[in-house]
Amino acid sequence: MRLLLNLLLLLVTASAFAQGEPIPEATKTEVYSTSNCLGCHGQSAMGGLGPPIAKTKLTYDQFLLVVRKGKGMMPATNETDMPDTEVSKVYAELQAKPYNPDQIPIAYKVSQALTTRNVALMFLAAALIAFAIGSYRLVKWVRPTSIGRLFPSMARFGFGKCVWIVVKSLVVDGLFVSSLWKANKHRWFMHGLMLYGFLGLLLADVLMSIYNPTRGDLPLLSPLKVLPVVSGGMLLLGVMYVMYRYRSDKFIDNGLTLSGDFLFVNLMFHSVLAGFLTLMVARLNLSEWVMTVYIYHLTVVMLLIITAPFSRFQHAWVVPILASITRLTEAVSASGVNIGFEREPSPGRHHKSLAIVDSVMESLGPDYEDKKVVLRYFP
Amino acid sequence: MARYSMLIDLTRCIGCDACTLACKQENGTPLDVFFARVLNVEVGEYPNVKRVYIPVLCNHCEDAPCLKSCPNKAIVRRPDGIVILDQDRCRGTGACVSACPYGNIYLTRVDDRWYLNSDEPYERDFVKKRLEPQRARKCTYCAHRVDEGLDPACVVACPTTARIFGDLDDPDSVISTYIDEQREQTGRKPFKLLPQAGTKPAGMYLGVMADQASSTLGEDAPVPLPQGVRTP
Amino acid sequence: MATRHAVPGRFSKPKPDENVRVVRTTDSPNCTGACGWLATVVNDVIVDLKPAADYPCEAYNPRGCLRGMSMTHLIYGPDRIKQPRIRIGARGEGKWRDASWDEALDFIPDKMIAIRDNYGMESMLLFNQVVGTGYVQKGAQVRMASLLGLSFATAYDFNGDISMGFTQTVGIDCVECETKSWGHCKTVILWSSNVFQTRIPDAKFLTKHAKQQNNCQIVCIDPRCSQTAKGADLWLPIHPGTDGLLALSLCHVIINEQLVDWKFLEKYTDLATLIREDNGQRLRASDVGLGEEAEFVVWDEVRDGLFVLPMDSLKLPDNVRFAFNGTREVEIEGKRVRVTPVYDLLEDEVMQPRYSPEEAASLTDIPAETIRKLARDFALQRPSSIVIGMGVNHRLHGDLTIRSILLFATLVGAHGKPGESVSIYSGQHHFRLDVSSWWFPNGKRPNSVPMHYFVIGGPTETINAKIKYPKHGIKGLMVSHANPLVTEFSGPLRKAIDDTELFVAIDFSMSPTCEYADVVLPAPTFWEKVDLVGTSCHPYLQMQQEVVPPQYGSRTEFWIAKELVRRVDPTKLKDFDFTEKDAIQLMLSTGGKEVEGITLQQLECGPVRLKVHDPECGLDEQFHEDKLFPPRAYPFPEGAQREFLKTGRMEFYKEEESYQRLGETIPIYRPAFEHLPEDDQRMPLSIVTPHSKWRVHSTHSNNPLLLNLNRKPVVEINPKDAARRGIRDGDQVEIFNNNGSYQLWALVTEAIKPGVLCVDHAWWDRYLANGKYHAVHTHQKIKPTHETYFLPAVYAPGQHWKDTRVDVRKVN
Repeated sequence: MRLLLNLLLLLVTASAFAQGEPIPEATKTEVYSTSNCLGCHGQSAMGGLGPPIAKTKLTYDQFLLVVRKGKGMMPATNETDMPDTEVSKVYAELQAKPYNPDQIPIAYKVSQALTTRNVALMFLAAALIAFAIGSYRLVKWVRPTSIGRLFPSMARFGFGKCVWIVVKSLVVDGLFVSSLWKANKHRWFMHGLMLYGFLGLLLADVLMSIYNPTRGDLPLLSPLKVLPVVSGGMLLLGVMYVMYRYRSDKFIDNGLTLSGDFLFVNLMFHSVLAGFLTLMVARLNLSEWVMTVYIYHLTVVMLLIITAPFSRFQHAWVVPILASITRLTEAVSASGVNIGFEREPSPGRHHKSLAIVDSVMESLGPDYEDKKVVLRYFP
Repeated sequence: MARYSMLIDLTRCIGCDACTLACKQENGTPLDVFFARVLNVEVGEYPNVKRVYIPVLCNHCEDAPCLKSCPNKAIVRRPDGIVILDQDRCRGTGACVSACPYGNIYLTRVDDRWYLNSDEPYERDFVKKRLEPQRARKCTYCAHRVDEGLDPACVVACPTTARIFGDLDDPDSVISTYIDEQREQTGRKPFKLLPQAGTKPAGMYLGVMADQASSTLGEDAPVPLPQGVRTP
Repeated sequence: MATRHAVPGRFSKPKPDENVRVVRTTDSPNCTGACGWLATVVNDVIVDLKPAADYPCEAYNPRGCLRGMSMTHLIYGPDRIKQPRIRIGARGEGKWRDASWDEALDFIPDKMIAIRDNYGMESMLLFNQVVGTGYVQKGAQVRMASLLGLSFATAYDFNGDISMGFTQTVGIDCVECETKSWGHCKTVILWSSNVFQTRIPDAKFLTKHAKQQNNCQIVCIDPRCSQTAKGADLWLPIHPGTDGLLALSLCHVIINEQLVDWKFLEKYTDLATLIREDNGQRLRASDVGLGEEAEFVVWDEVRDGLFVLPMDSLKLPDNVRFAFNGTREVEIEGKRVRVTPVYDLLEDEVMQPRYSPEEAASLTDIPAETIRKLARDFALQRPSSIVIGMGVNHRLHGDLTIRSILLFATLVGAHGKPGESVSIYSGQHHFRLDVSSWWFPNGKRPNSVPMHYFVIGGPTETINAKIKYPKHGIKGLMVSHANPLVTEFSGPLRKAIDDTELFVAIDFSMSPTCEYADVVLPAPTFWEKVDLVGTSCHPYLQMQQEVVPPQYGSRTEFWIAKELVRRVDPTKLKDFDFTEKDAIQLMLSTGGKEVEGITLQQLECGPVRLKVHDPECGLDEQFHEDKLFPPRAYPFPEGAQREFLKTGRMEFYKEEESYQRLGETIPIYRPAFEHLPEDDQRMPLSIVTPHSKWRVHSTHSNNPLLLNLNRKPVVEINPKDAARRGIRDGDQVEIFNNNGSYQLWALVTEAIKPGVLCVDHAWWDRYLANGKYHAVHTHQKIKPTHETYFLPAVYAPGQHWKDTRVDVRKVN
């Protein structure tokens, strides 16, 4: 089932963009038709993933420079692969081709729109939406903790100390996943692959936006190149392990969140996979696949972001926040700042019990509402 | 499929804590851990005081936030509606403790403390083995008993039969018939705790029937001054 | 969907070996609840206790409460005594040496023989836990006392649970309808009774049957919004000590509004009997030449003449109408003597303005209209019952209060039907069968001595002649399963014990009483010995099983008693040639009509219903079979109480000289605190000491499981009183008066009346912040009317520690 789902997703994205046009036999004598240019610029040179170049307005010198140096996604071509003579033939052939704007394919128009800036804006928008929904949902997570009812005790305990406990917990319980470390090192490692891989990718993206906003070519061992590759590798390994676990663990279904869990794991897997495919396609010069894979990558990442507040993704921020509230409650109740806590048979839930009491009073009717309510634990 | 639920009749409940203790015995919980608690509430000011006892335990929510918050998939909702916290899978993260709006999940991250001398076979051999240390723990509706066709320990132990346990999907179950009967006879409809939390709890309550009015002139008790000292 | 084995639960699958046994047994603590339990035992360790819920009548199921359930933590608790101990330091110093049983059992008889030789055997006193809770084991100790000629004090009257008001009125110290009959009520008055805490297994008859199914009106009279007030429709926060006034005020309303049930009074009470004005005595048939001295006459309005009350049955001819009012003259030995019916005297008293609701209101703090309505509801919304709690009784004038309450219920005839009775569940020393053959070998009884006299240092001037107080005083004390040093009156008791030469404590927990003993013998808990258990709360006789063998080094009371007999007087050993089951057989075969046909085999299978009415309403024989009052009080023979209820009817007039001297011939109201010294009266607060839900008296004080919930001893105090003294919730405070002081923590609560403090009964001293729990309580004083007659635990002196007045201050 899951495999099928994966394949389906791959096929849908691939088929949407990989409409390689058939090459007619008659044009085989043309240099252009036999060159690599065809892959991106199309049979009639009215563009494919690359721009239309029929009746190009470039001068020959400019044209040659672009061919030799490459441009944007277009790879550089050296003289051995395509001597100057051939370039000039191609230039001539291009000038001879009719310029027919109707033939500009959609894929090119899409790719035109996908400038680095636009992609960044799209992600920003998606992230903002996800953030808004996520925040709304986070409030729904935090409100039931009745943390507000703990404020008087927290004031007595000291807000400074409270902040410190929360921050410490966010780092120790959240970032370092201490509970997993204590319980099972193997699991911690596997979880770490995903967590730190993902964080590495995020970091790489930020760094890239700062230091290489045009996504220009980088030296092989540049940190900006190594970091995403290593992080992506970790993430891919981690996510594959998780997928393996989803297959092997018969208790993975908790009866409530299975779909969200699958959604997250699969989207994550596809995001990373597509990322790597993009790299691979570029490296292998499979230029006709580049845009397909790139758009597939963009789509799944977008989906990953948009669904984050609903999928298993949310555990990444919900769990640390909830855990830190737990630590805070523990610390406040253990300090005994509130006599109610001291008397409480099971410390740390007085504030929630008060919420229950209020709820019951509401349900019991007018005789019980709006009265002074005291919660006793004994005698 | 079954949909188990517990109905607690606050008219019947006398706040005796028998459930609290029965639960401790059944589940072998350590010091300070009480899966089934009874909240003892004083409402109002003298002389218009009322008392309410609210037994609370895991509500086995249909939309359980604890379950969704668990990073380890240690909390599961069985098809019969019982929400279980799997002691083997739990890593003691503690997110569920805060996620539960009712405060019914217990996590002690230090070693459990117990009641008896450490060499006492009762606790050493039988009690301590039931729950794993440093894990989150909670009520299971005594799933192990339910699976054998028994009622949960707190239900069996309740001396006033204030707790009614059964399958809501079965119209002939004790709980379904009780709800219908009470709606007809005493006009009480079951309510749930913290409905605004959106957790859809399985646990339900029925209201208090006693008026709990009070009648007094509200004067302070006189000091019975000895004769001769008594002021007019 | 499967879950892992780590679903919390008793037995992970696969199930454990066949060592698991499930035993049906019953417990027998001093709550006298006698609840049936199923104990799960693995490798001779009790791992689980669950209510057996196997009573054939479904209404009783389930029985059991938190205290019974947490017994595991006492059986295996840290305070369990594991070996006999002999004191090597001073008393109470806590220095012990462990001894073997042989050693301990040589030590005690040597001392006992020395006491016998020097002072006489009756100078050795046996004091054990309320005996009605276990007929075999406690019986074995009494049998030993009988055989050896020891003195014997019952805990029941020493605790003050004896309700003399009942004895004076109906000839037996408590009337207990079985709790199932509460379910029939339309009106229940819980008079200072906290049944939701003290009768947990029976509370369902109020909440489920009475309230929910019968929509009964439940009224709770208590200065404290107790746990039981939770289930009440009306809570009346009465001024402590004014209960008697309220009761008589209720009578005032009943009479005023003509709600009296005259037919009931004619048949069942002495209210028509005539009282002589010259000597305050009842007019006898012999006085007017109509019959015997033991017969009494009333004025019959139908024949306008005297009528002699039948003394063989309560049944009256149809054509009589007794006169309840009007003074008449009769000729006695040639003199004209004015005689007045008891009712007339009572009416004169009760109709005084001081008992009118208006005047009673200001003293009781209950509005007049509420008093009127309560009286009307009780009289008209039938069936109606009253349940009296110990707060009313543990007072010097508790007997007057109870007589007044009984008068109120009797005026409207609320007795003897399902849901109609006045009950006081004060301790079930009444046996459900005749245990005499086991307890009193060959009819020989131990020398009964109320503990009070030991505590106050010897007999009073007014002591009843039937009490044979040892002429050398008490020189040895054997306390079994009792903890008299953790009660409100333990201060003077401790001093009295200092004068003894031997103090043996038999118990399973190292209680403060044990800590003061010379020798401590480890005994088993209810779960480690065979016994026969009955209770007045339900009509089932049950057998207590040896679920596990006596744990650690403990030995049953039965075994200890036998060994002591062997060593002190081997010639008596032939009368102790029994096993526990033999004893049960013996009691069943000679136990009387209630147990006719019940066999040991039946009991071993589960609870067996006694041959009694269903439901029992209290005084069934009187109300159903017209037998004269008083009912038989086991283990005493029929007629043992005849002398203090001479008319054979409910007596509201006591003619004895002691009553006349105190002016208490009829129930009147006496301010509760008037008997205290002036300095005590000036103390601003009164203190109540209700039984805690966490304990049975002081048992379970040290239960670690229950201490987890009930963490600290607290004094409940109203915010008004607290604010005046600068006390905040949780503060450490000191309760003090002229007797002494102790410290604990404050619980400031709206649920208590201003002017009243509340501390749960019987905290062991070690849990207090400082001092001793009994320190402030008013000490032993014996009311002379309680000495008029004597029948152990039926007519004997009571206690009055709730008359204590105190103040409280914050400890800095």
